[in-house]
Amino acid sequence: MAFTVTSKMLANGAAELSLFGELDASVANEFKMAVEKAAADNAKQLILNMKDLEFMSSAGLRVLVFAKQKMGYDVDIYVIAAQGPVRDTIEMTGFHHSVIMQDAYSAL
Amino acid sequence: MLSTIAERVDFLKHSLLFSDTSPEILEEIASKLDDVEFQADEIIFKSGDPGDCLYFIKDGEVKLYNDDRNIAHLGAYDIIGEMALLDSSPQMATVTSIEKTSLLRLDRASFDKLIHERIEVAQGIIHILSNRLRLQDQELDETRNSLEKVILPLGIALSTEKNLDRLVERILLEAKKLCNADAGTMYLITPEKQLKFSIMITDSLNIALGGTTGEEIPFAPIPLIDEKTGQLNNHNVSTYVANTGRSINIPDIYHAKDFDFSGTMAFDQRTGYRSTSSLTVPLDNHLGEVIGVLQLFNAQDLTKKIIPFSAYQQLVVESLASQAAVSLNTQELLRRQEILVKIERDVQVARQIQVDFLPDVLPQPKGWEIVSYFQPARQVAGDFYDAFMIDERRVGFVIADVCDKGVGAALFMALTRSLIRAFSWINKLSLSDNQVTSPVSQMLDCIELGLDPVGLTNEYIALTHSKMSMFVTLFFGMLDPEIGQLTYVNAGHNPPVLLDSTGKVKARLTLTGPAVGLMPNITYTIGQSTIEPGDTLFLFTDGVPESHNPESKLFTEKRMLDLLSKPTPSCAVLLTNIVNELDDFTSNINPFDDVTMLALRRKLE
Repeated sequence: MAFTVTSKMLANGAAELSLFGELDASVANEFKMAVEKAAADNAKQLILNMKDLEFMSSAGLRVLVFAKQKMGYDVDIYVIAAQGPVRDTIEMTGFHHSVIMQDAYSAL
Repeated sequence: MLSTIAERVDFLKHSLLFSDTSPEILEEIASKLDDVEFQADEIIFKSGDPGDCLYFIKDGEVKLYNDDRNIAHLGAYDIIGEMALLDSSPQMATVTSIEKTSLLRLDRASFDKLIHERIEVAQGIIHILSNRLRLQDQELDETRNSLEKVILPLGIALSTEKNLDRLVERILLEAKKLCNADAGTMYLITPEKQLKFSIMITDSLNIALGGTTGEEIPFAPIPLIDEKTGQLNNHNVSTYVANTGRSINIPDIYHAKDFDFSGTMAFDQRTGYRSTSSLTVPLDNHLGEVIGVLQLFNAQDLTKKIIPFSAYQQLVVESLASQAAVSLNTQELLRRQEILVKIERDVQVARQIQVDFLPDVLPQPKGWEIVSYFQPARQVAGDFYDAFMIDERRVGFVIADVCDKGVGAALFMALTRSLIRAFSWINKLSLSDNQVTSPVSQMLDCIELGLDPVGLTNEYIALTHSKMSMFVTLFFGMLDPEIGQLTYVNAGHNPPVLLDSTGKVKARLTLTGPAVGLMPNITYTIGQSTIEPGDTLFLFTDGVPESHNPESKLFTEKRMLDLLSKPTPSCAVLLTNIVNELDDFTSNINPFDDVTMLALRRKLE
């Protein structure tokens, strides 16, 4: 299944990226560009909605690492509704320690 | 404006068709003619239209063309449409007025009657047709001559030219010479899909830029795709030709409506030049790819009067461009091949360096068997394994997977591997022997001292190499072989499997901290386990469960665990079994990911 990412800015200054489909090395750059845009827009938080993300390879995880570095360590990253293999990938590498994992977005 | 009979007779007298016709008959014919007028750029008839009348050009100029190929320009006293009338076939070409043109039209019925009744008119037609044939014969002869004497030898000469600037320059100069054109430009298409000015020459202005002149061309490359719309940019004649692969022959660019010549006109304004006729042809490399565009301006006759490019010249320049494209393509291929050979050499060096980073032999403590398997997906890998003696007693071992493949990952692998080893040595040096009672206490001591090799490596990579957004999943173990005690850090790596002698899974050594490089300021928890006699510790990278078969199905961890559950006489046999199964499963297609395994077995006493 193809990958798409859509972005919007929320009223509280958070950027929300919704990820659909399968995120692997061939499409990771689209995700990366969306993160760069959010960083350029000075987003106060980054919300990654992964409800419809079916697969994420290490290339996708690399963009998460990139996001953490690009947004600055004081910008919280929320990973929302990550499921099955996507959640496994994040948890197995221990990345869930550096983001906020939630089932539904609720700003901390 | 309507003409009188007398004016028409006077006009018809000068037509080749009626050179032998008496004034009385001319008067009769004149009475059957209609006056028609076309403004500039109007279509008189189209190729494929039924041939239902004959036209005499009284005044003005028209062009005959097919698709994009100019066939001829005709003017006063020429006739058009006669071929279709004679053999009742559709029109063979489209005819468009170049400027305001007045014609006299004779319909089919009158024409047929005339041909049947007046032998001298029929003779006139034959006269005109034979003249045309002779002209066409001449053109064919010239074309043949050009092909034999100019194009083919030039093609051979071009194929030996190794310098790109000289080659491009030569192509342009020869094309200019063939058309006696005053000016010309060669563009090459860049990998970024832009038309880059390669060389520009205008004889009458004494301008020569680019090529071997060493003079910079001050014009920016022209994008082939409109950045705003994402559509093909077909506004300029050069980009249109590059995008479509079709030649465009324009008698006067100031009357051209289909293309934007504002750049050329601005050049004219600045220099006092008058760009008039223009011929633009693609350089097609015979693989259906246009690799450049050749544009000529202002064809001249022998008196240096500017004339349109003829159909014949177009044909010859197209042949030349075609030869040139082959030479350019060959040269580009040679250049790429050279780069490839160089890269290949670098990769071989990288591979050798990487192989040097893997241990030549694995430590084999008494009563233990340690074996490894390593199959990179590419020539250089992102996976690695290591095993080494930390001191006389303890064995350190590592399996790791860098989150990428290729040379970048290999460099990262080399960095990580060296840091782990170096920080392990520091441990050994920092703690005096009497401090060390067991590996557990040693590792705990190290952490208290801030000397955990994995934590230090993470700190270094997360702080020093964060720009790369690279990370490494890694399992680092420290084993006391005498008592089978294992302390470890699992930094986000696939959990190794601890099996008993029957193949039953005793434990999975799950993560004790995040992958190395994800974030700084991490304190890794230390895991502990005991390897009993007969137990096997199996470590792997995700290349094992995630190997693909030709149908893109995954090997899966389940299949791997099934294989592990079968008792084997040695670890070597165990790894061989897995490798054989993987080979069967993937049908030996090129692996997508590196496959690495490490197994440690404590032999039964």
